[in-house]
Amino acid sequence: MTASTGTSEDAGDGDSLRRTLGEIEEQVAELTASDGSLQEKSELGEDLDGVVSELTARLATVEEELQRALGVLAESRSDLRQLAEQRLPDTQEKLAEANSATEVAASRMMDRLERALELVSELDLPAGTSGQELEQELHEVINSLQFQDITSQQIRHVSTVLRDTERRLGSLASVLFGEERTPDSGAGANGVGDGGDDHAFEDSAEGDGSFDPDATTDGASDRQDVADEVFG
Amino acid sequence: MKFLVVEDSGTMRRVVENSLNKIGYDDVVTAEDGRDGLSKFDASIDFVITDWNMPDVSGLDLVQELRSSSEGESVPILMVTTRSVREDIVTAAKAGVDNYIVKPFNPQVLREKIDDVLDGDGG
Repeated sequence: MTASTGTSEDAGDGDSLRRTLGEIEEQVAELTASDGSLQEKSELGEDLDGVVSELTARLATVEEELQRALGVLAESRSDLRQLAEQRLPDTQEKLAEANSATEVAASRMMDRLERALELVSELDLPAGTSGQELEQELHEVINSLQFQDITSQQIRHVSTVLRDTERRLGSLASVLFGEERTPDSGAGANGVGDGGDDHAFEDSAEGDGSFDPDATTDGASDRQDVADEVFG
Repeated sequence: MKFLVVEDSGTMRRVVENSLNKIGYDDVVTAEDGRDGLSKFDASIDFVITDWNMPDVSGLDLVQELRSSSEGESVPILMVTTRSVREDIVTAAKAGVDNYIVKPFNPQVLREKIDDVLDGDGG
């Protein structure tokens, strides 16, 4: 009975011991694992510290550079404003002046040439004389005045590009310095930031449709060949 | 033969008119843009010469407007323009232009194109 009981108790003690040993093993395993994790965490922490330090240093450098860039921009603020509000509009005005002057000059030349043609006609010179040659020359000169129409279209195109540049500079100044733009600066009038501004810029590159942005006096014969091919 | 010359450049209007006179066409009406051209077009016009790039109503608009009207559906139309990209020329042809001259042009070319259109070879 005792032995039996002893055996039974021994068996119970053995089970208990095995359970206890198992629990200890599990705890050791956990501790070991925990130690490893802590070790890893510690190493990761050190790595992160290094990265954070490096990033902080880099951000400080970037901040310095940004400050320097903003300083340069602030210094150029008056130059930008002068360019957008004075020099570009002045240039456009001069272009318009040149365009108008050449038109007036071409018109006066045309008046004189037409008058000269009338005079030659009144002379009623017989065929084969120098009078006919003179008339032909006068017609040639009149025809050469086509350049005025073409250069006028080129000037209007340049003027439109300048006006767009002026508007874009106005937008840039607004973004950088928070400046109010003048009503005639274009971009302000169109409402910057309303989503339609960029579209307005795209459209204005073609102007009001009264000129061909690609107008040129060059290669007329080759370009006529293209038209002749189409109309065959 | 009565011509309608539609051109926003004063210089070009006179150049074209002068060229027409030189080749024997003296009856010329001029218009300063497409809208003016439409207002001056009537059944007495036998031939239209038009620029493309003009404010408000362009030469292409003018052609399309004329082609959709009973009076202008068959009038000969010659376009004289700086535009020389093939796609533009094809667009003009599809709109109903009978022939096409690229600026700057030679008066001889003007005569040839008018003759071609009148002979039915150019449109």
